Amino acid sequence: MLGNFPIVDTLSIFYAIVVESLPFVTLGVLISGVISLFVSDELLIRYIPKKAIPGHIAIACVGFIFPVCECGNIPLARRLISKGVPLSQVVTFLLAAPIFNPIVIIATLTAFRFAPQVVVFRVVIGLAIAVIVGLIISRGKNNNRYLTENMIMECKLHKHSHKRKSLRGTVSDLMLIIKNEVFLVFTSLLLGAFIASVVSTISRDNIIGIATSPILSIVAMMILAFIMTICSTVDSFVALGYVGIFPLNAIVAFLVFGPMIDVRVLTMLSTTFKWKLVAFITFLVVNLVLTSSLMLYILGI
Amino acid sequence: MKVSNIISSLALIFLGGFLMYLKWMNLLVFYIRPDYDLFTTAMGFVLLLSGVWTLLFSHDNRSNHHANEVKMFTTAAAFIFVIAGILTPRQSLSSNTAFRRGPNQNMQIGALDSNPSTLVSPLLQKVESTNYTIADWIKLLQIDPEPSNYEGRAVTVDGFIQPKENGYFLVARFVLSCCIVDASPIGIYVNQKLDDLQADEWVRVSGKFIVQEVDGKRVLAIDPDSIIKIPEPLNPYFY
Repeated sequence: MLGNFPIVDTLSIFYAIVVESLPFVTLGVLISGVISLFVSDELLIRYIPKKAIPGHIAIACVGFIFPVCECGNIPLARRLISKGVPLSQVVTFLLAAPIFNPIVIIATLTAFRFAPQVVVFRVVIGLAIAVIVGLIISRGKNNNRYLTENMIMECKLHKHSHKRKSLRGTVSDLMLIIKNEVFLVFTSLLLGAFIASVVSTISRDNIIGIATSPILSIVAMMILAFIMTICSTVDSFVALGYVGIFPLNAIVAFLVFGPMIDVRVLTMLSTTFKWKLVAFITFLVVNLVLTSSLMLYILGI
Repeated sequence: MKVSNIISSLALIFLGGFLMYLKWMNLLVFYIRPDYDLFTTAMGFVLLLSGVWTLLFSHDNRSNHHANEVKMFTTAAAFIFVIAGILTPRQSLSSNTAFRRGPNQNMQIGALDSNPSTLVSPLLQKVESTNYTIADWIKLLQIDPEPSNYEGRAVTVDGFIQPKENGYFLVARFVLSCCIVDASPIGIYVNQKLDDLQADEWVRVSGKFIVQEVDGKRVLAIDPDSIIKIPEPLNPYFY
């Protein structure tokens, strides 16, 4: 009996992850949908400081006002570029917004109620990496050469529509946003939940070798985050499956790295930026997440 | 309206309806802690509403636009997810998972290598403890981990059977923090062979605490007067 793999338990855990996560996805999509319909981008751009460091820090916090996960922030990022926001600041926004937003913070706090320090590490390290990467990119000249042809065309053609809609039209738009965004996330949520449910049911003795190595455990969690491609609104519930197997610093690496770089993010980034810039961003994020997680390990966390 | 849009709206109605169905049938306890029931139901209603609205009133003709692309694959996945979720039998986590999650996760938390201390908590001696659950005893053991301080106390606890390799068993439960993903097994050793008892059967064990040597460690164990088979509780988890 003890050697058999508990299929029904794995299925139950799979459903638990999806049932716990789906309401948070819906709430996130609902709020970001309402904001995207009622708050204009111009209002946002007006208040971003022009100086490099304050500008990057300010835009890293924009996710708190526009609570979108990594799947929803590319359209907003494209709008920001087309309205003249510097590319380096947009990169900072893209990296920070999926971590520093209220829905993600509440979801992480809900999942890690027994270890609230995880939320602090996730937000602080996430914001720091987003600002550092943005500042490094801002040192480059003529960054717009890293935009895709498609994006350059969109910048040229961009015209803002101020057409007013009826209440019914606005509600219809909101309902469509909910439908499209939920389905955009749903498949990757299923995949992430499936992998996490299997791993969380595997006998802990089988993976203890990786989990006890400080570097391997971090790298393993970063690779998992990359492959799973799970929305930051719900990744904390998936990460729960690894608590007790992997150390907390590796869990933090999972929670910081996943929202910044995963299969879907890379695909979405490549719709806006050329691969050279995407590769450079990935290189910087990998190194910074690895370094910060190792620092947590050295500090005994 | 395109057929793909109609089908995807129906899938959304299914997803929202599924969350509400789980609440309606009191099945959410098998997945998440009850604190999130209201939130889950409310968001299920939002999904349902969105599905109904887009089915009846929204005419999404921008299906060529990337952001509005609703892939048939995702829609099919949603349907399969809901139908399988309704058809799959609901059951609490098994002793197999408790075993796999390992004895280090609170199981036999009273196990100690140290010599018996002379400390006997005066509070512990006075409190009426016959109604204590496994979780209550484990909490007490965290405060006062010396097994001999509990010797002779009457105990009656409900739980599932978690077999040990030596032929004996623990009466066990799972404790949830958020949902069953983080479920940790807790249990108390029972000084009786399994005999006709089966793994995962729910039992009520009554008896007295004794101190026993198991795998070279002194553990708190129940010397049972009676072991009665009981149905699985409506909510099998502790929080």
